[in-house]
Amino acid sequence: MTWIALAAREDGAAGPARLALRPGLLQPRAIARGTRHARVALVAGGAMLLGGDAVRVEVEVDDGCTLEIEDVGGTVAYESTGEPSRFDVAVTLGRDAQLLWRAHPFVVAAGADVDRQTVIDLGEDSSVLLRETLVLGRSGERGGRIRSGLHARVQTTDAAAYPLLHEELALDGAAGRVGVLGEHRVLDSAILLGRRPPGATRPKGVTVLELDGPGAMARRVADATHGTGIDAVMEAWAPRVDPA
Amino acid sequence: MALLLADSRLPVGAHVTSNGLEAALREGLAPDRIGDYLASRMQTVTAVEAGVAVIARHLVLTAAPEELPGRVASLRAHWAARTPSRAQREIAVVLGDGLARLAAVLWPTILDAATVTAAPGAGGDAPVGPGGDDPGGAARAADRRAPARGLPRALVLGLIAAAVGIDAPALVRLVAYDDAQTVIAAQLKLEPSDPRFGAAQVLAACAALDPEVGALAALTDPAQLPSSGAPLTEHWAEAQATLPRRLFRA
Repeated sequence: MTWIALAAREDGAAGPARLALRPGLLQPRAIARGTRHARVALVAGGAMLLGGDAVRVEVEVDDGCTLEIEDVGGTVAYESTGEPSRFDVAVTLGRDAQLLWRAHPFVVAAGADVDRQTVIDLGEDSSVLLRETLVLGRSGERGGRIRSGLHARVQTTDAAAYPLLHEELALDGAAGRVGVLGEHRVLDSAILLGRRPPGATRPKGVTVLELDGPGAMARRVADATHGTGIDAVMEAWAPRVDPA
Repeated sequence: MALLLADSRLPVGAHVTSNGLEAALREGLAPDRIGDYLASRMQTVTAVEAGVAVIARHLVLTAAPEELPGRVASLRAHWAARTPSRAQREIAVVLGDGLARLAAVLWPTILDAATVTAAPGAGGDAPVGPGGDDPGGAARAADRRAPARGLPRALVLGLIAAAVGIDAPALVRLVAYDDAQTVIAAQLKLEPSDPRFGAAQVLAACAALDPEVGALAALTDPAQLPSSGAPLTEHWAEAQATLPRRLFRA
């Protein structure tokens, strides 16, 4: 299991925030660190994901801290050898904690069979901006199967946690469904949780889904990863999770 | 009672929606794929709606009266978290309000017990739909009592089902039938074809859901609600809301 935990110094004294990193199939590397801020790169430790692999990444951001994660290269789920692979992410955010994760494309190669669960627990006044680009197939392929879940809830001090977003996508490159992805092979999303998005940015072809609670998903169903317009949305929305 | 609730002539304003079909056709959905669209809806949005209706029914039958409004509010929040498209939430609430207006006349006590003060950020002050027909003074008197505004149609349907004795499997089938029939009724206006084939498509879509009816009918916990997403369906719902020269609101 890969583990990334960021916390401010307990006494509030000067000096960099405490950053704990533990490598798993993905290796976290510290790039920068401030008093309440850190930037971490995630590097694949080897060929990923093979059938039977189980990647798990746990991220904890303590009260008042901001973590940025950058992927180094995308992820490819290769043809499964009878066994599905897993890629799970669990994020826990304290009060007024922020996470900005610029994830690279997640490619589901032909014959791959992947379960992916992203679970996000938001503390009060915390926020997340997450890029998620699902690609069915390398170029020329129709792609394999993925079940991708995204589940977020918000903890408030005066009441029980309330559900913010629950979504399970079942995609199969060999059997596109009308109204889901159709015959398209790319689903590119910018996912903002804990904040409402600024109104202005809505590149052509991008659908902005404004959640009932604080949050939104900007989405583009496409045939290629470039030119989806989601890059521009990420730039426009990033200040929403910036503590400054 | 299920026959009454399944009747598209019921004055609840259901004619304003095509369930996104108008935008889908405008964006290139081939008319001969409408049956596939129905099938996808059954696995995604319809499963969520049917689950919400079943759990609402269950809450009325099992929750302590003083706990019911809070439980209904929680169910509403779980529905909203599984309905990321604001356009889909808005039309569901418009139709829910329409159904609640009817219920205020036919079964005046049903919704009072479940009336909620909207959950935080739950948008309980959503605008009320046009409603259309005015059944008369009784309806106006019922309006003044402000029955359970701001609840999605599936939830209101579940509350009614509990009171009028519709069982859970029949309720799932009612939601499924209504979803498919809404699309096909809109198709006859948007892409006129032989209505007999439309009826066949409705039956096929309902049959496709049949293996899921038992599991959906057994749901009791909002946390266990299906949450199957359909990005293109959500995109069409949003596109429909701003479609120029449209026939349907949703």
